[in-house]
Amino acid sequence: MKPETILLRQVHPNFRDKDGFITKQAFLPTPDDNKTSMDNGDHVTARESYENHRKRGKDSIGTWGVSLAEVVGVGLSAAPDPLPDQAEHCVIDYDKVTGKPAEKLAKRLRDHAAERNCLHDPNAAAAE
Amino acid sequence: MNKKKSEEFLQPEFEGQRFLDHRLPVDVAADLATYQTLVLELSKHLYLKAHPKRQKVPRGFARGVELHLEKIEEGSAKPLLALVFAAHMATAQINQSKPYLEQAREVIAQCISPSGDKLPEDFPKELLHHFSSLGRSLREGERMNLAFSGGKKATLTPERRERLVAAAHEVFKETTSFSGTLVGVHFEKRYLVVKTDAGKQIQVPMPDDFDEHARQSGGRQRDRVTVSGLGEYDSWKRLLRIAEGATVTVDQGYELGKAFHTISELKDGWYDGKGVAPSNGKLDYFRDRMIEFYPDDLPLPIIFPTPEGNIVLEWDGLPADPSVDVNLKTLVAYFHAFGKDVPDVESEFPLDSDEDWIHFTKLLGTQIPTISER
Repeated sequence: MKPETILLRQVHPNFRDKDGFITKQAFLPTPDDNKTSMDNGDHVTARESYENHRKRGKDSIGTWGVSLAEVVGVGLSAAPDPLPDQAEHCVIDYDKVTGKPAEKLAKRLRDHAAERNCLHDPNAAAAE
Repeated sequence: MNKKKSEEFLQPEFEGQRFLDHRLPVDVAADLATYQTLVLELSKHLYLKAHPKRQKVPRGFARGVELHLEKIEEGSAKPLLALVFAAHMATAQINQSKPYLEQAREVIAQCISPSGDKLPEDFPKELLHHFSSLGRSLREGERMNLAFSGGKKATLTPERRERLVAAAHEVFKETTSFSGTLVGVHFEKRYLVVKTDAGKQIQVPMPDDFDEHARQSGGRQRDRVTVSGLGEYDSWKRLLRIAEGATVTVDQGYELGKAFHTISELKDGWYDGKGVAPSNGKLDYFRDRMIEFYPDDLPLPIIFPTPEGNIVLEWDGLPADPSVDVNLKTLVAYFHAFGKDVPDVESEFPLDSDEDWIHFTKLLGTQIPTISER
């Protein structure tokens, strides 16, 4: 992964409000491994990432993204983590950062993603 | 030398005893002249409606535009009207006015044969008087048909013409119900002004027992009032006012309540099979307290559920990124905002008592810019 590689994140419909604002929770790690699941934007497009996610039976309101440089910039790291059915899978590793400090980093990542705006909005794509 | 440009515009069809021998009586020409005036005036109105920042139509918009009687087709009383543009009109000028002339043709036909007995929004009240001239030549049993889009036919009869002239002043009464915000209260004259979601202000007679509600909810954007009563409508089916029999109910804190509603409907497993639904008892308590204590001058937070069954309040577009994580089980709130060149603002609050809520909302007041400051 290069610093400019965009790491793609699927956002649950309950994590975005009607005006497009996404909550910091969209970038919080899962408690079991303290990592946030992403897709490597060098390998799939934002649209493919969304469609694959939906095919796996998971909900999403669209794809947002942060660059590897932004992840490193907030003090976190990211690494490839290919899965049998998801070769493009990678993770943002919160390592030992948990609780309130993790919430703050998730906010920073959300802000980066919000600045880049939604990279694939299925509703807008359907309307085109 | 430039030539006039013309194209077919409309072919009205006249029906009735006098038209059976396929001739047009001379007085029909006056109707067609009125039709031309109406098309030109309506096209200007439509142009201004489409360009709300303009006070006037562009110079020369309709000057040089005329309807000419091209021919009367054999076998019927169907005069063919051509739209003729004067030789001096540039193509750009023609292209500017032509769409509105064509739209005017359509709207006139819609006005003559409205769907659902409702006059088209695009036809203004001020132009209805033209129907005192347009169709005046028609006698009992005669009609003028105008074709319009979708293969439909508008039929002008003497009766319809009279209805249209009268429509400018007609008011219809119908029982109605609508919601909005209470933007005005006149205690002496005993009426309320309710702003609908479409932005229209409607006058409503104030019910006898409403004074206290009016004091509490007047001007509060976050409260919602629902009005039922006998409404007065114009010929465009636009609600003018509530005439009588008004009942008014108030939903205090509607805007905040709406934000909690979606969360209250979550079921366990909402987050891709995981995700705990918040306890509705605790959620209702938090919602009611927010409605009671959240300051009117602060922007409303966006409220999200968390997979653990709690909620997070966040505010869009604020540089310090304030958020409040609310643990519904323990009723403890954690406030966080990034500090600019200073340490972050972090604070924890119990939310059990009135004093707790006063303390909590006071901190919000110091950390979140008011609506007027933003």
